[in-house]
Parts: sequence; structure tokens; C-alpha cells
Amino acid sequence: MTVPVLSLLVLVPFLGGLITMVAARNWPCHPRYLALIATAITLALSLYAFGTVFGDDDGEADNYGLSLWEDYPLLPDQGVRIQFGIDGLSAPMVFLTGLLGVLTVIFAWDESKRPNQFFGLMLLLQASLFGVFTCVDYFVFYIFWEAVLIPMFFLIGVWGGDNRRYASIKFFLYTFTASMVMLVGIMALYFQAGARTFNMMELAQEAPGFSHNFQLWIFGALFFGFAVKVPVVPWHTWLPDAHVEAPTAGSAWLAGVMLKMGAYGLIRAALPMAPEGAEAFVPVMVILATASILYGALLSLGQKDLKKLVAYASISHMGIALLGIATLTPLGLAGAVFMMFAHGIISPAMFMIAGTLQHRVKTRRIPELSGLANRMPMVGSLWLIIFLGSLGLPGMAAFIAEFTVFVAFWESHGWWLVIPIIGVLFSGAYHLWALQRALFGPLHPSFDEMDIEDGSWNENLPVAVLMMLAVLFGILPALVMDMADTSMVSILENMGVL
Amino acid sequence: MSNLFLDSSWLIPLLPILSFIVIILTSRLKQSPDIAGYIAAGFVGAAFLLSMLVIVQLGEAEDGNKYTSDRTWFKVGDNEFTYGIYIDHLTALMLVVVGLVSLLVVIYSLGYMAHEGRRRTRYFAEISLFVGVMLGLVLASNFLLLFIFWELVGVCSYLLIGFWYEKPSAASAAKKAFIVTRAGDISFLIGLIILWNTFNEAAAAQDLSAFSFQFLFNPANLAGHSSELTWITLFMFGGAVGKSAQFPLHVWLPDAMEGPTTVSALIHAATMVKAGVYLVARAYPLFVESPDTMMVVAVIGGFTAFLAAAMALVMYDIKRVLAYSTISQLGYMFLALGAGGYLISQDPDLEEAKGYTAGMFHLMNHAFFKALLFLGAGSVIHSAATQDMREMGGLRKVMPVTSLTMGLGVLSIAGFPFFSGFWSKDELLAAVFDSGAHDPVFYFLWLLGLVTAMMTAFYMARLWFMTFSGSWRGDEEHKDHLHESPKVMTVPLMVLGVLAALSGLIALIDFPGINDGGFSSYLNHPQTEGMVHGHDFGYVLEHTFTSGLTYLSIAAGLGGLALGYLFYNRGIDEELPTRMDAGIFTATTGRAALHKFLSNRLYMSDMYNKFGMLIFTKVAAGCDWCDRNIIDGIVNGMARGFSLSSQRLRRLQTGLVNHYTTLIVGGLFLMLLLFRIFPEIWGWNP
Repeated sequence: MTVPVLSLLVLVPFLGGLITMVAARNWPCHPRYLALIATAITLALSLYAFGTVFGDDDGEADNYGLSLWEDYPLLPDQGVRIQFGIDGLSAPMVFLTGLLGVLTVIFAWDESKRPNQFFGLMLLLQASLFGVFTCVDYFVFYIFWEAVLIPMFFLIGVWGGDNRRYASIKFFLYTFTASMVMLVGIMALYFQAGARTFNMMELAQEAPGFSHNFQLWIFGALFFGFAVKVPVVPWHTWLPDAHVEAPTAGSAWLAGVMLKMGAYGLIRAALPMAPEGAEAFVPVMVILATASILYGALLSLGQKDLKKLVAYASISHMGIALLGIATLTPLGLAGAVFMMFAHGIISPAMFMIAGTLQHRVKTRRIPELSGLANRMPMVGSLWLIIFLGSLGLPGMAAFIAEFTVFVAFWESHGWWLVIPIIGVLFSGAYHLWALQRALFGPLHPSFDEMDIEDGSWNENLPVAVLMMLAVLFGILPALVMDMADTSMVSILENMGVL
Repeated sequence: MSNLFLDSSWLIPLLPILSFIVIILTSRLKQSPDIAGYIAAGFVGAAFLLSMLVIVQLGEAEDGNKYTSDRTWFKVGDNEFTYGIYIDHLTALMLVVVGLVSLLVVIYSLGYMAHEGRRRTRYFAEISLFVGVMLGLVLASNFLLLFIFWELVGVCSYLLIGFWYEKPSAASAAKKAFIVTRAGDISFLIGLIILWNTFNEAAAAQDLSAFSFQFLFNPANLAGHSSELTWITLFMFGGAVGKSAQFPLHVWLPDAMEGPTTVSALIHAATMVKAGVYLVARAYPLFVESPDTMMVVAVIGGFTAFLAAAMALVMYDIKRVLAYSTISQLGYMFLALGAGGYLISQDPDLEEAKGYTAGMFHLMNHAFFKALLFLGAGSVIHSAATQDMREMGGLRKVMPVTSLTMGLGVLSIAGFPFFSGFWSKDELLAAVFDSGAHDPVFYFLWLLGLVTAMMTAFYMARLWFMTFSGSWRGDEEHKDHLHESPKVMTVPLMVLGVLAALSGLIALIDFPGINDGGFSSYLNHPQTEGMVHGHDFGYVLEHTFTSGLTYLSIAAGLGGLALGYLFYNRGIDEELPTRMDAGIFTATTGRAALHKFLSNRLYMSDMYNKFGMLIFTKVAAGCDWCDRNIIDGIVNGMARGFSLSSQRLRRLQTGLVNHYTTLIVGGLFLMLLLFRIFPEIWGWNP
């Protein structure tokens, strides 16, 4: 008997979330234990899924090259089916989602405001994210896609900072509007193809029959929907607000996994449907990606709030992923997948550092933090290493991604490379300048009287784990690159680009 | 058995990295600060020992004195990236230099850092990592791996320059070093990316990686790509300019003096800044394909050598004099590499790569005498508790070992006959002169080099006399605290003193692995037959006293030393006038202005700071404003627009039947117009 791993990945956190939320109210044990158990199971399952794809070189040819295939009818007459499958594109994302589940629960271990709803919502969020990354049926994919918004809306709106109402509504409306445009694109695809199926792989096979103009419109609609989620400049302004107001665990989810939905969607659900449209959009993608890289980095440079700095840094990093996608080469796409993965490891760690500071010294404003290295040696060391990893230090994951994307970009666009690559210099500048002001230098006078404690175990442990993973995947990139390579080559072959 | 040591050469960089890990893991122990230094010394010593064994075995290797291994690291499509070890004579030389100097610095640090308390743990951990990644850099088998270690070296220097991070100046200097060298690194990265895209197909066909030295050092593979190679090498040289602190990216190095003096010794003598020179030497088979690049290398090197020496003339901080001296000497190395390479590119049948040999010879000698000078300066600072030479003086009597060994270093760098610096500097200038036959620019560069040699001798004499002769000019109370440094510091000084005096004589003896067949065999192994021929150090000796140029360079060195003596032989004490008064340098307005211009480092550092602040504050703040008010303003404006218009529209819902009837009739009329009447009039077909 085969275990339906992927449907369990959705069901376990979903049921776990419901139980944590509702039933745990009067239970003697703290809901965090329930959440920990549920996320530990999903981590094991996601590791299993990741391992399966890693060990499985070609995938199973009869299931569109996807592993762990599951297929259930939902509305068979309309061609809506629940179809789960995983490949080299989704496996790293599934692993990330499983990993962040445990780590965010540990980080939020001491959450005292409505803990059962807090942990329950995080589990529901995780369940929907698993759904997004494993479903290959547009209809169900879209349902999960929108379902992600709901727990996040409440996480920001209830557990957020002072301006949480504005941020949560903006987050919801902005991304929801973009999804509407995407939905129009999906519907157009469905009716134009006339194959009575929502299966992405099958729709992609109809793609050569679509007219050039139709492909342009389709890709435009899907691109807009996904680009807002990435987010790409100029549709990025929901992100800093959401990040600044969200509780740390929410920020970790937002940066770690939710931003990857956009880039994942582009590769999985937009490129294959409209190859000609994608090629026509390459200049647009390159310009927007370059703008995101440089403008995002400059914005980071100008921030005084550590969390906002990290949020803008995410825009810059995801710009590199989009640049990789725009190359339409296996190396560029695999680099983009690796960037999604690397950023998914590193940025939650940076948000956790910011959260720890908020707890310990009650501020995240960089000019008011100074000389903390002396008082918080553990947090300081982790902070330093994570920031170095984020600025693209070789030996840590982000470097591999930047390097491969830039190599691929030269292959596709030549000398234009010299513009986006300047972002590397800016990123060095804002990371190190923040470190210089916040971590080094003399101790800020306001801390003289304050009894500053180093981070507690549940604050340091998740960061340490993420740091070690960033190093592991920086030294052994093949763990992700091999599977990304296989999947990207097959996607590009189906598009007729290769 | 036969290749036991060669096959375990990957342990060389790993041992110091292991030391880093061990120190970190034991950092919670109470004794950690006391034992960390010994752990580091043990592991670095083991790495040095192993590299010596490797070098001895390299002499016996069958494969043309070269050992290489390259394995797949990761692979995407037809892009295969590799990792591995590459050892030839250049690597061997670097292993000796890096290993020996690092070991001595670590031992010296046991004494120098003794007063730092718990921080010693961090110091020795970071210094171990630094040594490890530098050894990794010289052993790397391809340019990607080299670049990775190159960046890691940068980070380690960032950590060590900012060792006293609570000092704002140290934190700022560390950041500056990292960002300025990173500007060079981007250039290096672009070069590598062009390299990859130029050669990947051809390399994949041979089942090799386009970054691997094995592929690139085969001249047949480079043929037909000369214009790409010019760009590749120029961009790669940009990386070397950053790392080796050449004009215009030299500004970070003097600031890097904020770190402990031992770190300065390591950065300046053996590790970080040598990486740039090593890169050019390593990529020499690529560089010699492009005369244009070689010209650029030589001009930047020669110009930097002169400019930095000029600034060294006016500095009063003992470490800064040495810092500018380092920049200047590195310029010499690039000058030699560039001039020699230009000659090769003009004359493919050339039998010898004189400039290359001279440049690398100078790199080795410089490592020894510069480490000596920095560690000596550290010993002085330890005792005098100041870095300002105006507040020193007369230390010769209390610090005999330091003053004597530093004296050896001064003579060596000044090119005093038979000291190590003499051999290599003379050879280096001769190589530049030779290139003049093809392009007169090199005659000018040669002259510049000769003047620089004289300036070098002068400022080094100035440094030594101001520090050690005359009488104590500092704080009277501190006078009793002056002391010679402990044995653990003076013994490394003595070892380095001997090396600084004698390392040039390596030209006389036959040392297996380093100079049998000279550097030639590295560029001359079977695969690259007919590409470039180096020659051994013995050649240096044969040609030294047969040329008039040698006497010119001896005269320059001695002249500089003599002038230094005349101006500063009694320090700058007012009561004991020197033979000549140093006041003449600032006597007229013009001279004073020049002096000020040089003292202020040509205002370049200020300019960069201003430019940096402009980006940091103005541009970034401008973007931030634009983001919040314009881009987000549009978003909020749209939201406000919707909410306003919905409030207006709400008023239509009045609940009065006559309003609704009016609207229905009006709507009907409108639809009639749109769908029936207009199409009739204009012939539309809905």
C-alpha cells in the first residue's frame, strides 16, 4: 500500500490546525505542543517527499514527470480534479514549507495572546501552502492560492503591530485583486483550450495551438497575478507594510514561503501555457527584475527599521530570481529555483533576528541599536553570519543562486549583465552598514541601564538551524540543483525553447 | 604510497578550518582563551608541515611537476561546475610563503594578544579561518573555487579588521575594506562569467570545466578568442586591483590598519593582498594572450608604486608608512608581471618570462620582509603604546632585538646589496627595461620604478631612524614602561630577520620543488608546451652584476638610505639637529601644499566617503521618499478613489420610486442610443 504523502501533507496541518484552534481551548496541555506534533509530522512527510524526488531521476513518465502522484475527482464533468504531484521545482518549496512549520512554532513558543488561534492559523497557512505547491490542477491550485490569504490576514490583523489594520487590509486587497486578473487568465485558458481539463500539464500541451495574441494576453494576465506576489517593483508596496506589522512568525512565513508562490507560479503555471507570450515578455521581465534588484537594494539602504530593511532586501533578492526566469535557459531557471530556496532559508532567519531584538531591547530602529555584539554574543554571531549569507557570501546558499543566474543572464543578454550585477555591491553595502550601526560600535546610551539578555533557546535554535542549512546547501548545491535541473530542462523542452 | 602527501593535499586548507571549528566548539570552556592560541598554532603548523611534504613530493611527481584533481560539484544542463586541487610550482611557492608567514604570525600573536582576555578565542578562531581560506585559494583547481576562497578571504579580513568592533573607526574600516574590494570582486565575477560563456562549449566537448586550469592552460583551447580574452583578463585584473589595493581602489588598505598589528602583518605580507598578484600570476597564460591587458597591468602597477611611495614619505603613523609601502611594493609586482607579459605577447618565441619570475620572486621576498616590518612595528607599538613616530625615538637601546631585526627588514626592502629585496627588485626593473624595446612607455615606467626605489629607501630609513635613534620624545611617564618584547614575539622576528636577509639567496641554492627548473616548469608542463617559458632564479644571479642597470638600482637604494640618514639620523629632535633639516620639505608654500596633498592621501579617500555618503543618504533617502509617496501614493490613491466614488454612488440609493423610474428610463434610452441608433448612423455592426 502506498501512503498518500502529498494529501497527508495538506490534511495533517489542516486537521491539526482545526483541532488546535477549536478543541484545545479547554485542554490541559498548551496548544503549542499540538502544533509542534503536527508540524513535526509534516516536516517528516515533506522530507520524505523531497527525498523521493531527489532519488527519482526522471520522475514517472506517465504522470507528467511528477512523483508521488495522486488523482481524485472533484467535479469530473467540468474536468476539475484534485491532482497532487511533485517534481524538482516543487520539492524544494515543499521542504521549505515543512521546515518553516516546525521552526516558526518553536520561535513563537512563548506566544501568549490567544495561542490556540495563533498556532492553529499557522497550521492552516501551512496546509494551504502545501496545496499550492503540490496541486497541478488550476482550479484547486487557485483555491489553495486564495486560501493562503485568509490565515495570513488574521495573523497580521490580530497579532500585528500598531498599524496592523491598514497593513492586513492592504495585503489582502492588493494580492486578491492581482489574483482576480490571474483567474481571468486561467478561465480564458480553460475555455480556449476546450479540452475540459484544468490540469496544467495537459493545458500546456494545447499551448502550441494558441494564437500569438492570445498568448500575449494570457501571459500578461498570469504574469501580473504572479508578479504582485513575488513581489516585483512597482507592485511591491504591500510587502513592507505587511512585514513591518506582522508578528515575527508571520513575517517568516511571508518571506520564507509566500513570496515563493509568485515565482513558483510563473515557472509552473505561466511559462508553459504561453511560450510565445513568455518570450515576448522577456524584455519586460528583465527590466522589472533589474529595477527590483537595484531599487530594492537602494530602498534597503535607506531604511532605519531593521525589519523593513530585510523586507526590501527580499524584493531585491526575488528580483534575481525573476532575472533567472527571464533568461529562459535551464541554468537561469534552476538558478531562480535555487534563489527561491536559498532566500526561503535565509530571510526567515533575518526576520527572526529582528523579532528577537524586538523582544529583548524593545526596538528595531537601527540608529537606536548600537554595540549589541557585546551584550548579545549569541544573537550577534548568528546575525552576522546570516547577514553575510544574505549578501551572497560564497559557501552559503544565496551565492550559488546569484552566480548561476548571472552566468545564465550573460548567455541570454550579454553586456546588459553589468547593470543588475551592481546590485551585488549595493547589497554588500546595506547589509554591512546595518551591521556596523546596529551590532558594532559603542553601546547605545539607552542600553546602559537596561538589563539585556541574550536570545533564549527558542529564539536562537531556529536561526541556528536555518544558518546551518544555508551553509549546507551552499557547500552541496547539488542537493537542490540536480532536481531543479531535471525539471527545468523538461519544462523548457515542453515549451520548445530548448 | 607514491603520492600519499599529494593525494592528501586537500587537508592543507582543511586543517586551519578545522582549527576554527575546534576553537568555536570549545569556546564555552573557561580555559578557551588560553588554549585557543595553541590550537591555532598546532593546526597551522600541521598545515605548513604537510605543505612542505607535498612540495617535496611534487618534485618527484611524474606529471611534469604538477598535480591536479577536478571533480563535479554541481551540474545544470551542459554547465558543469567543479572543485579540486591544483598544485604546481606557483602553488608550491605560495604554500611556503603563506604557511610559513602565517605560522610565525600565529606564534607571535600568542604574545601580542596576551592582554586581550576572552577575546583571544575569537581572534584565534578567525585567524585560523583566514589562513585556511587563503591556503584554499592557492590550492584551488579552477577559477570558481578560487573566487569562492577569494570572497572568503575578504570576509575574514572584514572580521579581523573589525576585531575591536566597539571602536567606530574599526567597524567603519572593516566595512570599507569589504565594500571597496567587493567593487573589484564584481569585476572579477564579470570576467569569470564572460570566460564561462566563451569557453563552456569547447570545454564540455573535452569533458572539462571551462574554469579549470587544466583546460585553460592549454594554448590550443584559447586560440581564436583574443578579443574576448582581453575583456576577460581586464575584468579579472579589476578584481586584483581591489584585492591588492592598487590605484584607484587602494583606499581601503591604510584604513585597514585599525585591526590588530598581527592582522595587518598577515593581510599585508602573506594573505589577502597577495591574492591579487597571485590571481594575475595564476591566470598568466590568459593574460599573455592580450598585450593590451598587460599594458594596463604594468601602467597601473608602476603608477601605484610611485604614488603610494610618495604618500609613504609624509606619513607619521608607523603602520601607515608600512601600509603605503605595501601598496607600493604590490605595484612593483604588477609592474613586473605586466611588463614581462607584454614582452611575451609581442614576441611569442621568447625563451624566458623574466617579468613573471621577478614578480613572483619579489612576492616571496616581500612576504618575509614585510611580515618582519609589521611584526617589528607591532613590537614597537606594544612597548611605546603609540603609533605616531613623532612620539617615539631612541628605542634602539631598550629594544635591541626589535631594532636590529627591523633594520634587516629596512635594508632588505630598500634594496641594499645582497639582501633579499635587492635581488628581486633589480631583476624586476631589468625586466621592465627590456620591454621598453617594444614600447617606450616601459622606459618611462622603468624610470618611475627607479625613482620609487629611491623613495622607498628614503621613507624606510626615515621610519627606522625616527623610531629607534635619537632619544625618547613621547610621554616622560611612559619612558619607564618601554621594554623589549617577550621571547614568543622576538623569536619569530629573528626567524623573519634571517629570511628577509637571505631569502634572495635562494637563487644560489637548488631547492627541490621551488626552483628546480624554475617557475618555467609551471608554465611549461607538457600540456602547455610552446606557450610561455619561465626561467629559474639562478638566472637572476647570472645577469645581475653584468648589467649597468644593476648599479643604477644599487645607487638608487643607497642614495635613498643615505638621504634618510642625513635627515633623520637623530630622529626629529630639535635639540640635537640632524645633518639636514626635514623642515625644508615644508619650507615654501608650494612644498607645503604638496606635503598636505600627500598627507591627506590625495583627498581620494574623502572623495569616496563623500560619494558613499551621497548614495547612502541622498539617493537611498530619495528612493525611500519616492516609494512611500509616489508608488505607494498611487496605490493608496486608488483605494481612496474607490472608497470616495462608492460613497457618492451610495447616494443614488435614495429609496424614492420616482428617482428609480428616471434612472430606468434614462438607462433604456442610453442603451437604445448605443445599440440601435449609433450603429445605424455610423454603420457599426455590434
